[in-house]
Amino acid sequence: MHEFGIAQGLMDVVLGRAREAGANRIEQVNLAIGVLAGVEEEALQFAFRALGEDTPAAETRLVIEKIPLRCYCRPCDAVFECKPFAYRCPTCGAASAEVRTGKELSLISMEVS
Amino acid sequence: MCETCGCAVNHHPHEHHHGDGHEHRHDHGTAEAANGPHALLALNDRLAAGNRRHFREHGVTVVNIVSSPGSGKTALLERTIRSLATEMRVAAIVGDLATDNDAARLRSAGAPAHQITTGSACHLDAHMIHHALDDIRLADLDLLLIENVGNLVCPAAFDLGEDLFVVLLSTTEGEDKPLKYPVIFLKADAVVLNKTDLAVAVDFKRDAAMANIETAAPKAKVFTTSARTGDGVEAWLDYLRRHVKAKKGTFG
Repeated sequence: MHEFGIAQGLMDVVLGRAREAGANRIEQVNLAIGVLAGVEEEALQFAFRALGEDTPAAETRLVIEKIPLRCYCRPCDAVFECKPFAYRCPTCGAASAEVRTGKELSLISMEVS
Repeated sequence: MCETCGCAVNHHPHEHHHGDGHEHRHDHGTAEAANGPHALLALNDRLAAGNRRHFREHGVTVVNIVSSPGSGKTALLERTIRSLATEMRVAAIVGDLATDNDAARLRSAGAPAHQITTGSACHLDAHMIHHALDDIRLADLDLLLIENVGNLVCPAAFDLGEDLFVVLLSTTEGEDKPLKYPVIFLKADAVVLNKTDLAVAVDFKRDAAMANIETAAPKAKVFTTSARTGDGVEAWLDYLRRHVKAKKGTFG
């Protein structure tokens, strides 16, 4: 449900940047979203489309790169990829909640014309 | 006017016209001006950092409490306030979609309570807390309890500036709740397992629940309570006392 608020914040940023660049259309917006960001991709896509009607973002492709969860294992001094709620190092089995990636919620870049 | 968030300022997007009387078309391709990373929760995170700075300046310990609706957040806070209000200065902020019933309950328990009615929003954000602070004198406080909107999804994404993020779950919700909502549990500094007085009635499997909490929230302190009978609440109160004392000692 909070995807709408996030989409609104994103819309404000991309429309502002497009205006600054003197662009008529926003072709593509690239996002990075971690699996722990708590954002449902479909809901965000829908909200972005709904908010973009009659704006330069009406036809924009929203491209989302999913960032996997990676945690740090102290005993091994290594970063390992894992799923939410399985934060165990595959090498030594130690539990870790030291999240290194997976919380991202960022606009990476955009293309305008 | 609020200088931090610029609320009362007219911040609606406005167009700039150059007025040079002719139109020109650009073919920008990827426009330089339009690029560069931007954190989508940057505004919330900035306001949360501002809240955190205010709390630190006044040595106030802030606890953000989340759970499903009906897990017993308000009941636990009532009991917490009744016990701690005699030994320290406690206030509460309560988030709900509608009504100020919960704030009224916490006031009856003995603490000033500020109700935020979010309308349709499913979580509290740093901006709402920032404005609630207009009504709360931090200089007169030791502990601020924030009861978030009942929801185990959205509140995970919004830092409020708290010291402690606490997830409450109750025995009536089943043992596997931590595995179903891993994002919010991973964030937990403490997990409170409430309604232990009903455990037998709902055939609650305590060992399985504890194992699931440990899996989903490896860094969390775990408390088991019955907010109704008071069983186990003392350990939770001690946890709060320790944090309040430490923060007062460091910053107060």
